[in-house]
Amino acid sequence: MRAISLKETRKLLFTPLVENNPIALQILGICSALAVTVKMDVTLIMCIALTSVITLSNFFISIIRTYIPDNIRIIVQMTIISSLVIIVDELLKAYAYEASKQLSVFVGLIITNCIVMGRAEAFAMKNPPIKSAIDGFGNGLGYSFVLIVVATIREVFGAGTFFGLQVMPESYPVNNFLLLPPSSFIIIGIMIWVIRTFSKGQVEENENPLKAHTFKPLVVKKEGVDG
Amino acid sequence: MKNLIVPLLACIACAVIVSFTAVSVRYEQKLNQENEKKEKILAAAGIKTGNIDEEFSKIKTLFFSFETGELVSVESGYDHIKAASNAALSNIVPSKLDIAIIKRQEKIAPVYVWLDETSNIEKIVLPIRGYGLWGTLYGYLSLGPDLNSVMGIEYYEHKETPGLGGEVDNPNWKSGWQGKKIYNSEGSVSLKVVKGVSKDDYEIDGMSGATITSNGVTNMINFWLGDQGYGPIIKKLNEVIE
Amino acid sequence: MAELLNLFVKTVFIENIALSLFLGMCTFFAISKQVKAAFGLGIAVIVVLTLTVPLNNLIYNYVLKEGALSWAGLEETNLEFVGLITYIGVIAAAVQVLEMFLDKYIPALYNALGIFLPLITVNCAILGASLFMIEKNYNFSQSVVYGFGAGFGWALAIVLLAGIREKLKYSDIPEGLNGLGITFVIVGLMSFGFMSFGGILL
Repeated sequence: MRAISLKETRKLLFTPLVENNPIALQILGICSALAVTVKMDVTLIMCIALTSVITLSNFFISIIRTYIPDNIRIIVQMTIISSLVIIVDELLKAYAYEASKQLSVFVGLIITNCIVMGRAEAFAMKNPPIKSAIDGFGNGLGYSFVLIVVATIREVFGAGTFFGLQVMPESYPVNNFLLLPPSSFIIIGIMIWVIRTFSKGQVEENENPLKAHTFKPLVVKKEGVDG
Repeated sequence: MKNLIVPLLACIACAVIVSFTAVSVRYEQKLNQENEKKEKILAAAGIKTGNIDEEFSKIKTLFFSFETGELVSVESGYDHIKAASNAALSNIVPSKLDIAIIKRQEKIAPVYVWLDETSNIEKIVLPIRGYGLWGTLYGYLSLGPDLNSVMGIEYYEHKETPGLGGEVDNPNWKSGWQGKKIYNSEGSVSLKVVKGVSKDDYEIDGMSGATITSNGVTNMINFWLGDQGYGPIIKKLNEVIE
Repeated sequence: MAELLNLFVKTVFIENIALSLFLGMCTFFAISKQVKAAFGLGIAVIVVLTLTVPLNNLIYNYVLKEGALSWAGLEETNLEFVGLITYIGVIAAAVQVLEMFLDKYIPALYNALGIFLPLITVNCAILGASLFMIEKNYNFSQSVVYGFGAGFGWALAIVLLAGIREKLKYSDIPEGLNGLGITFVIVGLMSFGFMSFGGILL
């Protein structure tokens, strides 16, 4: 096995954080990002759970990658991922009971989290184990980064607390908007906006038939649905 | 051949590891589940430290029938919440009386009683439940020796929005219940959660932004401590204990 | 009957699987650019959910649940810990069988839904619905209604979103917000809209 250079490791670890964040840019694995971000402690446990599953699954899948017949590879990946998720779920139920109750089905849903499957398929099937593990860890961090930012905004500006401790002055009124789950969509939307303002390369192709930022009224030809 | 053996081995390895983990942590999981309810019952009664099993052994658990108001005996392992969804062990609550929206009420439910040295009631804990905004809230309410003043309230399961209706878990809000009175001088349930700040012994501070949850809490107090619930049982509890 | 109807309405509107529980979001964002595609995917989700939720219900109640194996003389066995892997296996198998069945017998439908079916195995709405069904302890008939209702709710949400996104082509959106960003904001607003169903008692 070829040793991995420091530079390569750094690249694997940090590109998924901002430049190629799985949640914000590849729209992967957002389901859980929304439902578990109201309190920091729960969010953190979810991040740890997902990061450990993705790191280990990438590692194990990469070890046996050359032996997996192509036509059953998805099911083999799924078996390994599910086993890891079950282990994490059982451990949480035993040692972090309160948090596991609050996370309810969302720990189980790590199985279908597209980041985990996506990295297994796109990276671990083609790369050696250590490298895959680092890639998994990096993507786990990218996921955690978004979750922690959203959770921090929601807890600090919503409830006025951080990890359950009061950080805002007592007079700070509870911000209902941020505490309600749909606000996390809007926070992520704005995060994407901010990221894209700074790295222009990610701006999406404009599908707009009108030229952007022109307020001239234009006559648009009526377009069919398929058009 | 090699191509089949490796996935097969991987599967077997996964199966072994998963089963091993599941079996080895099962004891802790069971313990967590059992302790959780005990912990909440104790917390409602204001006992937050000490060994759970030891503290719990001081409690006398009595079972009463809602139909007759009499003390009854049950099989060991009887779970009144499970009984409520069993047609043989529960009754449908007529929708007019079903203010807490529980749909079915178990026929037999527990009362947890603490006795002092002279076998007088020191405090009791009653299980309560009712519908809030998103789902049913399950909890315990504790009453003092006069069987009228509240000692504490504790919810162990609910789906209310964190920060809004979820404030039922807030220690500040819960502490506002201490010393409040359930029944007025005529003997009817008068305690309610009000909007804003409470003004007398029959009012609890409202949770801001959570009117429906607040009403749900009021309704479940009315139901469970009223005539449909523990009301008649509480009235003669002192005689039963003797 | 009324109870089942209530459950259906509750599953579609109050506990909408996409807009209240946030499940199946990856495909929700990816395949919602056109109403036609969204509609096809929606139908596929309805079919798969109506099939897999009751199937998992049977497996849970007769094999996995504590004491469920008493008919085989194994009263003490509790297989709940293999639940996750079983449900996902059932889903993958059901989708595969459905795909082969459609390919052979109803080619027209296969052409319309075929491309969406493989996407669905890894859609968390499918596994999520099964997990919620187990958590809420539904019986068999309730699970059929729940499966169908959850699928219907998801399909409704994605078709609504696709409708909005089609119109969005004609609006002038700041550069960085265009595309994904504005879609997130819209879904957030739609989700707030669905919250107003909360507290309705059925």
